[in-house]
Amino acid sequence: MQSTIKNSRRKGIRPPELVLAMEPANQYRVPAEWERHYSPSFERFGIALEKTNWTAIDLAEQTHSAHSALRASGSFWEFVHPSPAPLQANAGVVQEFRVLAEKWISETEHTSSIKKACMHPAYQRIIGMGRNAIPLLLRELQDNPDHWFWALHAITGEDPGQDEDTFDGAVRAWLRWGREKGFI
Amino acid sequence: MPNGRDNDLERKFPKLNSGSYRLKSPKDKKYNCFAFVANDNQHIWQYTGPGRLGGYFWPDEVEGDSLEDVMRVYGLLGFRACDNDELEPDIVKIAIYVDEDNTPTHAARQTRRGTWTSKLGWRGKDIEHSTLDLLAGNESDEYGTVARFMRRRRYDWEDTDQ
Repeated sequence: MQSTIKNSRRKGIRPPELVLAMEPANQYRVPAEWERHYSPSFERFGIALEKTNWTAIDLAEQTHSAHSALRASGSFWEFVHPSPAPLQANAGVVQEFRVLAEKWISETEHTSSIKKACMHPAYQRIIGMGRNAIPLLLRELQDNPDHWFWALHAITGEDPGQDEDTFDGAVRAWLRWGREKGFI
Repeated sequence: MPNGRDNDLERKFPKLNSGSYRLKSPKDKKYNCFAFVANDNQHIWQYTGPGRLGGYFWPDEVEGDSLEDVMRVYGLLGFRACDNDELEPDIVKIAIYVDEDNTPTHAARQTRRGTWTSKLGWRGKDIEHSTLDLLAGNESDEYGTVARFMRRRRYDWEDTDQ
């Protein structure tokens, strides 16, 4: 199924009305007027995207799971994850993140200015991954804490560690935030 | 100076190959060089903009991280600009390195015997190095040039392990 979605990636019209509905977490909604292109099967949805020449990568990367379901909800169709997004299902994004993260860590090891380190191209590319990077950043923050606050803040606009002036304090605050939002 | 060598470090700072230095701590992510010279091993001193991103320390009195701003920060701790790195009794001196854009890249603190000590990056180790030049230059991870010295009276408890 994943390959079907991947294969649908092409220059085309990115679904502009895609709404990331964060409450509750892990639900992604699309307008009901797209109904004719969808079916309650995620796989068929991928095929529909191919036929319509839309770029499905957003949905593929956001939803991750072959077990995602599509269901009608009021005037929207919802993609609903049965559980927090399984990261391993989207190996490409995970792999890209790992390569960039390791490159950044390696090449900024002795940089004293966090600000300068965050301008590193690899770090900027991680920020460019957008919301897809949030669970990966939080997982990294959990397993191998580093200065991912800047990226998380840039992507989410939030700063749960605002009252913290220590590294450990900010790590705890971001992980708490991630759990509350269902990212980890 | 005892000389526990670190091959990886010497690759990143090639002048350490020919100089005298010693490792003083394991790697630690909780503080950076700008905190270290102020005897703070608990915070990362980093200006993150007017909104102040959580996880970092920067005094409210200073808005910016230019060379002048960094000197202003140390000024709040009693340091005053001086023009040399000569060892003086009861005086502690710090040196601020800058890159080609005059942006601060590193800071080091003079020990009681005239050597220097500094924290390498925010992930690295504390080291004691015989001269400031050992970390200066533009190769690999080197910190550029020393742009300013500052001084204040040395506290009795400072650098007592030297």
